[in-house]
Amino acid sequence: MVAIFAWLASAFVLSTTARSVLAGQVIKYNLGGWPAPFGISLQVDGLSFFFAVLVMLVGLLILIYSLGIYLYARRFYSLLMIALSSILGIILTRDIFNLYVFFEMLAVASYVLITYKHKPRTIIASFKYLVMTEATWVFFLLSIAILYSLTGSLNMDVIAVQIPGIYQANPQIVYVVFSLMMISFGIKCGMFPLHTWIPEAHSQAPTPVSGLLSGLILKVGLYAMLRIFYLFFGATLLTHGVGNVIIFFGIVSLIFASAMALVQIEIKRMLAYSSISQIGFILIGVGLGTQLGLQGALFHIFNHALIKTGLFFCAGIIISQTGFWKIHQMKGVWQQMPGLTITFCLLSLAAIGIPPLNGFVSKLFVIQAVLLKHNYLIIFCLFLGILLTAACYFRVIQMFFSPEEFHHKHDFRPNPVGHFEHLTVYAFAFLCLLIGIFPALVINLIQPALKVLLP
Amino acid sequence: MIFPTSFWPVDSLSFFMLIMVTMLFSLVFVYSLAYVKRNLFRYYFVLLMALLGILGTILAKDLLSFYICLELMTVAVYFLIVDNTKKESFPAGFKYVIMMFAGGLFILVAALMLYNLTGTFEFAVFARVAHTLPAESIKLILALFVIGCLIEIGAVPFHVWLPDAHPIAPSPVSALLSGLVIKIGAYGLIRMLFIFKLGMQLLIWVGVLSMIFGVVLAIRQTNIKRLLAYSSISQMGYVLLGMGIGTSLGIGGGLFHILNHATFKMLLFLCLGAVIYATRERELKNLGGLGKRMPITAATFCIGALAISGIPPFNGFASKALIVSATAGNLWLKTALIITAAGTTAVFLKLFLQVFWGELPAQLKKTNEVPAPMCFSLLILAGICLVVGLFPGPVLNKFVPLTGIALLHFEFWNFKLLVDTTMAVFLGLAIYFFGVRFGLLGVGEGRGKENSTLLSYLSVDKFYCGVAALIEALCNMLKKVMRRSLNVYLLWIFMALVILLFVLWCPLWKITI
Repeated sequence: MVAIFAWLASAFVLSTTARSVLAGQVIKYNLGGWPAPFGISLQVDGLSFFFAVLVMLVGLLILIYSLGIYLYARRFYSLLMIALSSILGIILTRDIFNLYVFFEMLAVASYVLITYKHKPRTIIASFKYLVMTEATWVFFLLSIAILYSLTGSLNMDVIAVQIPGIYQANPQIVYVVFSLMMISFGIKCGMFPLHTWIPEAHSQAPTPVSGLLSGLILKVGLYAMLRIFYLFFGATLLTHGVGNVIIFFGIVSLIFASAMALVQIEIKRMLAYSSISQIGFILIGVGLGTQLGLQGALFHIFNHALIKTGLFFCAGIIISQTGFWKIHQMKGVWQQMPGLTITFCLLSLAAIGIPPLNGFVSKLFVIQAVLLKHNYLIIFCLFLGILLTAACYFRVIQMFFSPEEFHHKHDFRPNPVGHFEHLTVYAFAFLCLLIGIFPALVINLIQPALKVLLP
Repeated sequence: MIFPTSFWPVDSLSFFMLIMVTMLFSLVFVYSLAYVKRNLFRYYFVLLMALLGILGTILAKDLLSFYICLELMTVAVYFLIVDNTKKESFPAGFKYVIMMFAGGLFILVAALMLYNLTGTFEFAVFARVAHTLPAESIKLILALFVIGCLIEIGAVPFHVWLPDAHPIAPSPVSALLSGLVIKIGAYGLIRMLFIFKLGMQLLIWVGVLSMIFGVVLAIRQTNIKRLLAYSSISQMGYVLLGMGIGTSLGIGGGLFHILNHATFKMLLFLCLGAVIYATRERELKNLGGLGKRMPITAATFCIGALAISGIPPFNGFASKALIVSATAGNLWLKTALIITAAGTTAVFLKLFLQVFWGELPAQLKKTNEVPAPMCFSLLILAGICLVVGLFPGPVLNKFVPLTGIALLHFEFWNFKLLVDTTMAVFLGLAIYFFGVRFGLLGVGEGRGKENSTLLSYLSVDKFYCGVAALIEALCNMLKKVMRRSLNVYLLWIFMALVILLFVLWCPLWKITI
């Protein structure tokens, strides 16, 4: 209950900023009254607002989902709230070291959340996540140190002003900073060679936490990438073709992860790999750097958060009802839970990008943006990625409709699944349909964000 | 940027398709009332969704709406195909849905490229600015679009989903697939080709290939619905041939054949559906002599078979006559047409004799005529075949759009055409009797094995399945290569960093991608 009240309070605060932010203004708050270059300042602009709305929306649904499960006690909610608040902190802060601190807070909270069930496998998965993330966040700290030594400030605006000068004098150091940051944000958002923690952590975490990981934590990595790359390197590196590097990573993630998703045995691992491939899709849009590409990327971030969290919740309910983890065991789910199966079908069609669901709109933008660049190689890869995604989702759907008699696992007692869980899943499907039919709802939110990214 | 979608331009082409779809769809509904017994809610829900998709594609004012409704139809039809939820229905549905998505993506990319050229998706604007666009890019766009539509139609060499999906679907759904769903691709093709005024050599080739290929493969089938599915491929070849010729006679003939094929193929599927409903048998060798037990089905099937073989006075003759005349004396095309017509005659002679003639097997002694709603649909469809066949001229001029002078005064009861038809029929009879004599038809005794191995070399299906198996093997290999170990993961991270630095320091990235 306290968690819900906290959510309501922050939603209220956010909504007070809504009108002026959507009109294109920027709201600043200096912590402790210290002005910008010295103290830490929080700032709400179009981009932050867009992500904040996403976090509040998905966060609320995650909270509601976990309310119905008696397993989750006070410790769970406090950790969840820490995670959500540090995500909001990442989104609002204007100080690069503060960004690092919030990221570490988020990471610590999510390590504990993943191991919430105290099983050996969850602890192994969480440990892998911990080691990998900390190893790469040292890189981020290093890049902050380099920037601080060059500019003498940790404030993002101050650094951004000085970077073109540094690039003129010594481009190599900017490359180093860029690479270090790319690796550290890449591990958060699950770019191809750094994706390895995702399937392990997603499949072992409790269901609401899988939703949190896929829906929000990956997106925060993307937020940091968008914010810092476009602020720092927008005028220097990205206009000189480094976007191609991001596109390359995007393509590799897309193809590789959809190929891996096709042959996974466990449903949650399959969903996790599919997340990576969708991230690849978003990275292509980010790397293009055009108005349309960024619009598609931001839209797809929003859609993917809704779709994938919903899919994880569906899978979670099915697992807790049947006790099965593996796709080929989930036969005849249709007879047992028709509503849930329809929801799963709807959400996976949205993930493939079938109209009139929301995934279609964002994929349309990205494809259009690529077409405007006349790059047919990328188009071919997108083709392949979409078809592989379709194949891996229909593999699951056809298993759900298979005729075999539904049976529970041997000596398994199904957990009672309450109304809260079902309500959340239906809400996700409803939102997907709503946004698919009225994409203007989200596009109006994206426009101010685009103005921030491409001034 | 928001892409608007818009509907409702009822011009003569969509009016024609609209009449056809609503008429035939309502017959499928009536038929389903008696045929479908389980999962009624799901079945009718997706059936209505398929109707929505089909009507949407026809009423779409712009290419994007066309694509959206096409995908809606694809998904709905997938769930109709797997409605039986048998073990073998899922691979067929899987093949269908993946190929359809691929086709849809081709169409989407073509649509977006056209948008980039013209700034709109609207058909009307395309028609206005068509002559100002650069010819090279139009050719590329049309090629993409045509490939997409050919996949939707199920033309050779993209036909592999068709013979798998038809037999496994419930019979009204097979009728729907053959009658309406594959026509939507043809509709899109006609719309675009008519806007850009391009007759396509490619379509002639694909059409002829589909005609011959379909009928050759149909002759040997022993599963009754699979046989009809192959025959659908061959009949869609006529439509493509007509469009490829591109004269008003050709396109008009193609459109007329869309209508006629929809009616008689639907009739045939529903008849065999009635046979399956009454006997639960799909294999030719278990059927026979049903003519006496099911007179209405047998009579209507006979009409359908005569119509598809192009024998007057049924509707198949009329549209085939138009297409034959459109070839304008090209000997090769005419030969191909006559061979296909002969083959079709042989196929349906075989089907009719094996199912309705001959001796009634012992286990089928208690077979009865099917319920009234099914008979109703069959009779109406047979009536349409007869009426259109008797009065082809008025029907053509009333409903089929794009009527040119050549079409207005077309003489259907032409001596030359009748000679051609007679020739085809006798050739067909000859093929049938020789086929039975030498065991080439898959019925009776005789050598089957050598022929089937011969035909399996022709199979394109193997190629597609091979590609799919290859992809899966590659994915599995990838899965094995990726070791789940923390050391490897950390190695990946450092390698990524090193590669990134290397790529950025050397100006490689300026030339790559």
